Amino acid sequence: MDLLHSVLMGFGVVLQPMNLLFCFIGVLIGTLVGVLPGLGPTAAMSLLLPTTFHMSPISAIIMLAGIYYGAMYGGSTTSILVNIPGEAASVITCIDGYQMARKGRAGPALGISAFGSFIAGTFSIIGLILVAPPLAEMALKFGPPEYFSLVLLGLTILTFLSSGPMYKALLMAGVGLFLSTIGLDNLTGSSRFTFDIVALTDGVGLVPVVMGVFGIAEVLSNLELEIKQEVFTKKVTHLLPTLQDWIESKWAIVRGSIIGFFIGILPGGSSTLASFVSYAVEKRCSKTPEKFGTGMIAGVAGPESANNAASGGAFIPLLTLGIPTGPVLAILLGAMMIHGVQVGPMLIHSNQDFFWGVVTSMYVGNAMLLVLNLPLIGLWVQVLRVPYSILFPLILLFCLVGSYSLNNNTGDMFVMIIFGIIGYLMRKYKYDAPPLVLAFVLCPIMEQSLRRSLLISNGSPFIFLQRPISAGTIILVIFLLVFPFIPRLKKKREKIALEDKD
Amino acid sequence: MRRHDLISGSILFLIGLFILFYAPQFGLGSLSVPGPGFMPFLSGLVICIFSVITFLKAALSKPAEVEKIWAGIKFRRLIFVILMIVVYTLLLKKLGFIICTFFLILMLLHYTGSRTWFVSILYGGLSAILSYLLFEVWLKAQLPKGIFGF
Repeated sequence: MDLLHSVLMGFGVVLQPMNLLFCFIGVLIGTLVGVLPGLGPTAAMSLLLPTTFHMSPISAIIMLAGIYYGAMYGGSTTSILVNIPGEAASVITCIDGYQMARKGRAGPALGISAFGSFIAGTFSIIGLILVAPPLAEMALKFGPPEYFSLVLLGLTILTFLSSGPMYKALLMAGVGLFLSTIGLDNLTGSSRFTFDIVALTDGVGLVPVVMGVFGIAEVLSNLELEIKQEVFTKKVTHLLPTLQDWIESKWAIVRGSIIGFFIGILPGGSSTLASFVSYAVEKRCSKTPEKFGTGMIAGVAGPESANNAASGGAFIPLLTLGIPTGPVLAILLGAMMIHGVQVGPMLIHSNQDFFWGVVTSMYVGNAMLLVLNLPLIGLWVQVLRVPYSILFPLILLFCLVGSYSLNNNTGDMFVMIIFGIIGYLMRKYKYDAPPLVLAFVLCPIMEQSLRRSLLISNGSPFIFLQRPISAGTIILVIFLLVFPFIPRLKKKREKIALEDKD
Repeated sequence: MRRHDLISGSILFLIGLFILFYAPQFGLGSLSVPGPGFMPFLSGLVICIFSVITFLKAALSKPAEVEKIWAGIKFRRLIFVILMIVVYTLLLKKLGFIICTFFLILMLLHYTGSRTWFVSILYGGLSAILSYLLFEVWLKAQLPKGIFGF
């Protein structure tokens, strides 16, 4: 009963008043960010990262993680009530959720998404508790070649799943790799591509880049649109789903949880993707698929469960291997490193308090979210009435202050603004941001493991094919890269490659 | 996207080419002992290869109607907002957080959000004070004080 002991220890950590408080602040901000269109969890977490510098590492990560899964709850509120997704993972909820609201069933729609999210959250946390320790055990045997292949696989899957053509995603990954090499070389200490600019000697920071590409760029592109936020329902009643609602959505929740969990573990498998897949599955499983789009409760319950389960599953590679699977997890990894937490397979042993504290905090956070999202729904409806013209100056201000307080200098602010403009142009010219950000984060691991592997093998690249795990991974990478060039298979990829902005 | 891909593909190709020429200066090393320039070189290679593919795919595709990605954009608004945040960044250390924030919110609300002067000044003042309390007092973020000392 070692596991039970660990879990109880984790609860002991979370239930300390300070951690409880930061967990609450995290899920509160998460819900807020989820509710507000035009600000996603990625930007919110990066701009709040500097505020955690004075906290203990555990409190900091508990809070930041809370923002992430909290946003999954909040996003559905906007989708259902306003027909605008609060963030990318709730895009699909608009379809049936808004129709339900139009029929006066906003209450049950909101209710089932909160309950579904909670059930899925619980499921994915139990999955995380069961899967993480053995996986970390296995990962202890990984050497540089395994790490290199895994990181390469992660990047390839992300480009494979990204919207638009795969070559454009790979192009962005190349740019991310390059940006990451600016600054000092980790192995030799010599500087690269700094052009004698002082601000560049430490390299380009992850946080300014992410804030620019996801925060500033989002604001700049929203300036063109007049976001009209008309809240459909004035008063939301009957939040508790009826027995009939439960019967109609119980399997959707179960399927959504399982799909979401496994997609979440995949590198590049985002919450957004999980919600899309879940919706497609529900439509296929339904006896009345033609009714989807007219306010089917299963079309709300499935995707909302899936996106929450995915956010739990995504913690597995992060906490066991130290490999983030998307931009949000990359920020969490960055935060852990700033706080001096040693990431990788040793984490679960060397820093038990941290590991189990963060894992169990997600359960506590999910319970808090259920309370925040059901009885307090009226509050969030009020938040939705704040017009974007008042909101966007504040988002800009938060980004500016956030980037300044990273190192107390204005250099990071300029980097952020420049990447804001680059991110804006990328949106215009249809290039995906996630491959760039993930490649940027993974490059140091990739470079070090590549160079170390080649040192070990004395320059033979075949080292990646001589070790079973690494060889299997490389074969998968090659398959994924060749896949889109086979015309028959290309169409299939286009079917699963979906819009994914966050 | 045809024309836009031709443009973006060419620009990225030039960037990739620049990296390929510049990276060897930092020492490529050999396969058995890769140097600091090795990874940048690889990234330059990736950029070049896929920008060429982007360019060729666009060049070989049927010329369709040009998608007007720049239509309906309020350039003035866009440039004004970028200008404001750049000016804010430039003046932050000289004038201090409170004054800069007040004017930033004021200008953005009045000119971009088309609020009245009264509302803009009110919100500008409120956001300056509240964000100061939040970041400086509560989160101890050491914001710049500027020449006036606040």
